[in-house]
Amino acid sequence: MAGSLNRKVALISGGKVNYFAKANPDLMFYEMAMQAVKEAVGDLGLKPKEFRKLLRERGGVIITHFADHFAGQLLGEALTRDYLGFNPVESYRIVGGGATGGLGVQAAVEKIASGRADIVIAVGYEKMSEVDTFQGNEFIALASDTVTDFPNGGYYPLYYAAMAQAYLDTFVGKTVTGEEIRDAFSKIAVMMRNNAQYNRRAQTSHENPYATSSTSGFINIEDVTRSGIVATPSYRLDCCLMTDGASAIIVACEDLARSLTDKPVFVTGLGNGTDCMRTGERQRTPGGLLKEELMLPHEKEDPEYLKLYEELEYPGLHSFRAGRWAAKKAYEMAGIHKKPLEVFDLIEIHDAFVISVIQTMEDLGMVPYGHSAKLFNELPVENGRVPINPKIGGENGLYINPSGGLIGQMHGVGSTGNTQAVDVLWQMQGKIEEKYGHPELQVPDPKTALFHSHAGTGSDITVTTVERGW
Amino acid sequence: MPVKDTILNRQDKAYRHARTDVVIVQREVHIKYKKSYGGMSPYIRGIMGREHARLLYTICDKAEDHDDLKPLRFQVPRADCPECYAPTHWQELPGDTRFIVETFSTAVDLAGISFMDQLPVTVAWIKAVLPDDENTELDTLVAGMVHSEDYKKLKKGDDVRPVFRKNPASNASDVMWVLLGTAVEKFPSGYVESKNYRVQKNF
Ligand SMILES: [Zn+2]
Repeated sequence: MAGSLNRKVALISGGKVNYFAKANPDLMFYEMAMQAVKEAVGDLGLKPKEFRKLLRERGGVIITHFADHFAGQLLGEALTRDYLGFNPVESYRIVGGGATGGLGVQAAVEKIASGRADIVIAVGYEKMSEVDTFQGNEFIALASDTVTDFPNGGYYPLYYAAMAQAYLDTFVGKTVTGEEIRDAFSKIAVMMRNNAQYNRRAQTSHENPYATSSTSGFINIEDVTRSGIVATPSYRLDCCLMTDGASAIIVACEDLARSLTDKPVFVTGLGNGTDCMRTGERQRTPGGLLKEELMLPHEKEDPEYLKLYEELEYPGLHSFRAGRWAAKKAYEMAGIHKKPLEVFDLIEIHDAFVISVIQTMEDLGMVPYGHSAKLFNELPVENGRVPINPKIGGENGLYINPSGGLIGQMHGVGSTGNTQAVDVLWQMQGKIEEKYGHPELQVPDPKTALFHSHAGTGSDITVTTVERGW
Repeated sequence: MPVKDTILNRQDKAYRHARTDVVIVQREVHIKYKKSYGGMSPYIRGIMGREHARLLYTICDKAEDHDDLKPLRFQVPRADCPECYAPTHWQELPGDTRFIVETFSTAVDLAGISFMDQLPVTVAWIKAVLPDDENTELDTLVAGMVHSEDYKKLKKGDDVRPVFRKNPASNASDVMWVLLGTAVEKFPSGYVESKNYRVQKNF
């Protein structure tokens, strides 16, 4: 049946490069992948020889990397498979901008749900440091229209800053004040960066031997607005990282999953939405959420939502219709009808910029559109910092990006969505102290979680929901 | 695609991040593309017209085959309609079309390598409103660079006017935008007014 999985699929083991880094000249891209795969396979108690036999007889391999430009290597997935000793195997590359990693994990799940494989490893990598930051920004900007938007000075921090401006122009004076939004932006930036200080493998962790002193360590609220405007109205510390990194996640059918681990995490929902690559072509339809039937079940029951959404131009440049679509599809598959803020214990979302967190919380239906800021405004501040890994949204709320996310942990594009899946898996398996080197970021007893992967200015977005299987 | 590798000497900052004894080379790659604008070519030709430049858009009027049962107007123009797959028709934006800033941002610090020497660069998403009785809006916004004396004063709803490159680069940046009423001496360097779109005109 459309919109369902033909059989149960579980995430069973994950791995990451030993250290995410702005630059790691010690490892080529497939050597980073080796560290991640070695960890994921080793954690299952399998010898590489046993794992490779399983892959060959019953499995498959998905490789994800984003821009061939970064490593200057086409078909890098073949070199990665070679280095990992996977040949011959059923394998292909998945790519979709910033959502590359998330799409790869979903492809691995689909491969098993379809019956084509019983076990799949999805491996993501990106090596972004071999060009300088300006060149890197330009490569990423090539993932906007190179005929129209890119020659007009477009690059990603600016595209998001323009969306932040659109968000301000849409909601300030209606649902929120400009000061409240800026306060939320800064608190989000501090939350991500400081969470990452308890994740020793994070790029900005003061314990990471590859971290540079100017881009690691704790930050305070005032550091954010002191970091300087990159593109109005966004500050440098509002923006995510560029990373050399890799990660890997192993997924399996139920029988095999249960034979390999006593802690399988089952996939309950997959959603994948799209919208126009040129933001200027997105619809600006008054009442668009209603007209396009994009409201979530819990929103339909609330007259306040209806009133707000009847007038709201949607998606405009302030929101991601692709994210709302992906969430709606995933929730439908998972049978989620209640308030998502109360359903999930933990989410790892694509915080490419602080504005994306505000936008994404609304796309995911955690709060009504225009209302995200207050989730973060509520956080207490002590000595210029919000608490480490705070619960968001009150007693029945959830934890957002304990890992540090793209702002604190890593954004090595082809690996990012894959890394988020690994973080969620480790959280649910209770492995955070072992994997991050600190217990502070362990979410207490998570049963349901979500990970979200995002491309372009919201051209391709995935939402995957999972639940504990024991 | 000529590729040239040169060893980087040990003093190069690329080695600073290394924790093992690695060899690093500088690889230079030069690529030339012969890039066609295909069915969009009339638009590019229009903005390459210097003092005679024109802004073209395309329309599909097969309203009954569209999701919202209305004609669709595209700028960025496209040769084919995405909703009914019929070929679109070219139209010219009249001189008294209003151009209004919908949203914008100014890059002040970081940029892609092509723009790093030109900062600050303001990019706006601009709405075109036709001078007909219904004030019909084009269905899409177009992204463009806005040159202004003080980028901090730019806001949503500002009226802007197109100016065109005197020596066209034959790409989308042959049109830039200035605030309505901007004096000629405040135009971005190398850009001129088109006789088809007066910058001083009041609406
Ligand atoms: Zn049509």
